[in-house]
Amino acid sequence: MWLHAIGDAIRAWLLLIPLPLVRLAFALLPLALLIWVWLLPRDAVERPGESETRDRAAQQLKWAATVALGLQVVVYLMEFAAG
Amino acid sequence: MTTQLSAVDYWVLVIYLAATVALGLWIGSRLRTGRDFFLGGRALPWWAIGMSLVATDIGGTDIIGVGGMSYRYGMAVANFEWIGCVPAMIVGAFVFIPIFWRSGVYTIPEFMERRFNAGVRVALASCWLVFMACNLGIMLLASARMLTALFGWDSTLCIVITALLAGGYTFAGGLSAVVYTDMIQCAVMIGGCLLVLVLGLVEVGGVSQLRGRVAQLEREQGRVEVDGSTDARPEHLRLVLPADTRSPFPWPGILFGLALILSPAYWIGNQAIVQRSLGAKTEFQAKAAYVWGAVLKNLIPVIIAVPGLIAFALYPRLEDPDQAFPVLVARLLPSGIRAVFLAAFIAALMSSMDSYLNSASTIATHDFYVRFVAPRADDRKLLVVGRVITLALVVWAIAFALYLAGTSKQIYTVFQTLMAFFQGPAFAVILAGLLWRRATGKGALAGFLTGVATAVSLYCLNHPAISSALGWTRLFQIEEPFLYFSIWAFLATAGVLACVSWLTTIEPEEKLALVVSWRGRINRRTDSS
Repeated sequence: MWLHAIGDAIRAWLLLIPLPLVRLAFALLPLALLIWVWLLPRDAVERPGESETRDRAAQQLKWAATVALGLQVVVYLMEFAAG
Repeated sequence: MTTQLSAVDYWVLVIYLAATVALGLWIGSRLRTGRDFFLGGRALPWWAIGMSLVATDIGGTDIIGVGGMSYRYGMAVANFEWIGCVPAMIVGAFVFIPIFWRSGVYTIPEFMERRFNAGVRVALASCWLVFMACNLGIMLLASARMLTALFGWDSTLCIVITALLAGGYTFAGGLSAVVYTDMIQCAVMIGGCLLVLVLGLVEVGGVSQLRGRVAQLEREQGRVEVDGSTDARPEHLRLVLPADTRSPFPWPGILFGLALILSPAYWIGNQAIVQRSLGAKTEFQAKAAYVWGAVLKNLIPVIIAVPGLIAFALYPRLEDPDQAFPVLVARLLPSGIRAVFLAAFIAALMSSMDSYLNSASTIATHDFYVRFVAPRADDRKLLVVGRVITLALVVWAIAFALYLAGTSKQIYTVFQTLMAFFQGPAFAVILAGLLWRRATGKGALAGFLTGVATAVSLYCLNHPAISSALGWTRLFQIEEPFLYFSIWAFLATAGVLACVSWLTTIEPEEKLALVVSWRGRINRRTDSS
């Protein structure tokens, strides 16, 4: 029965967290990743010696990642705003 | 309720299937070595791999299962495609995929042997092989149910024909055939599902009418605001559900179990997913494929989850939620157009099935045959072995699907529960191996086995028959708590892995060269290309 006690305690704790705050966290996760992508060092995006990995291509990769994550931010911000 | 196909429907379907199989066979005629068969000769372009990633992920199980879940619980199921995919794909693109690609491995378990030991490799490979083999049967069953519901076709015949079609070109063309046919299948799948979405929205009267109808139905069905909050939106229209919801998607499960564990485990550790990026022409293209896939992923819930919601609004009294999508197709799509969706569904099934076939064959060949039976087998022999194993898997998949046909459990839930047993532990092992220098092989193996045992134990203890025999209430209050299984299994793995690693000798420096940083910096000594 101790497993139930642990579960009940965790559930009670989780229920204390306001749902709007949780919805905000869902939006902040992709936002944090988006910022992380733009802070990535150059050698994480490109690779010396590969023809595609000129500055422009590397930037395009970051922009494509921004589109993917940006849409996520918008979706979950809408969920947050809807209350 | 079945519907008849017109002659045009049949022609569209036959032409589509013939073209797909012909493309796969043509690619197969150009294969010469095992490397061509398993990694596409490492010559695959990013745009094809990205679409293949999406097509592989969205199988028949998803179109039917997500539609069914959306019908029953609402849009919260969309989290599986949004927060349950996109963040992990982006992290995978910049941190994990580059090191896998540079290492030149065929499989993730092979990489884990380089970082840890043979025991970890065998444990991971065994789990993935069993999972993929079982998943093949589940995929076939999903297609058979759909086709039977729609057209009254014999389900056994559906299982056999789809298995032979997908198995045929995978047998011949290997990963290249899989990726290029997936690319076409992805386009057909998106087009077909978009068609259902648009016609469904027209039928229901638009988005605002859909929202109103869903709210009205929820009131009629006596649904209560489970979180007792001021949220007046119908539960069907919410993405984030409270922790005490009865649906399988409470926010802690979605955030911690799905977004942080199961999703990265799937996109970074799933052989069927990662393998196509290992076949990319260059490291940059492997990264670009994942990012392109993440962009496409944003569209998927709109085209497969929203139709489930439309079905709920239009036909709220379906006995089986998994019939939501088939019913929409049967009642909304006119004759001649129906074949487009049918082709889309078969495309989704075949694109997932071919990937799992090829990846299961790769694991069986490289992690078992080459590793333990014939380490010196030449590349031409591996091509033959890969094809023989593919054939055996097709036969197995047909047999397993026919066995599953006797069960009534929701397809999607079976799939997720099976994944939750070992994906959390596998991810913990991969994460520790790539990011923590102190992680040891003994720690990884002990942690992995503990994690799997934890997940299976929780499943058993939560099973109604066992909990009632023990005189317990069920451990978890939600239905199908597979997301929670994965959280606990991950934590158990991480805890045991950390303890045992601290108690055992650190791995030699050549193994530690595989450790990567979150900043995306990779140790150049891992470069084998």
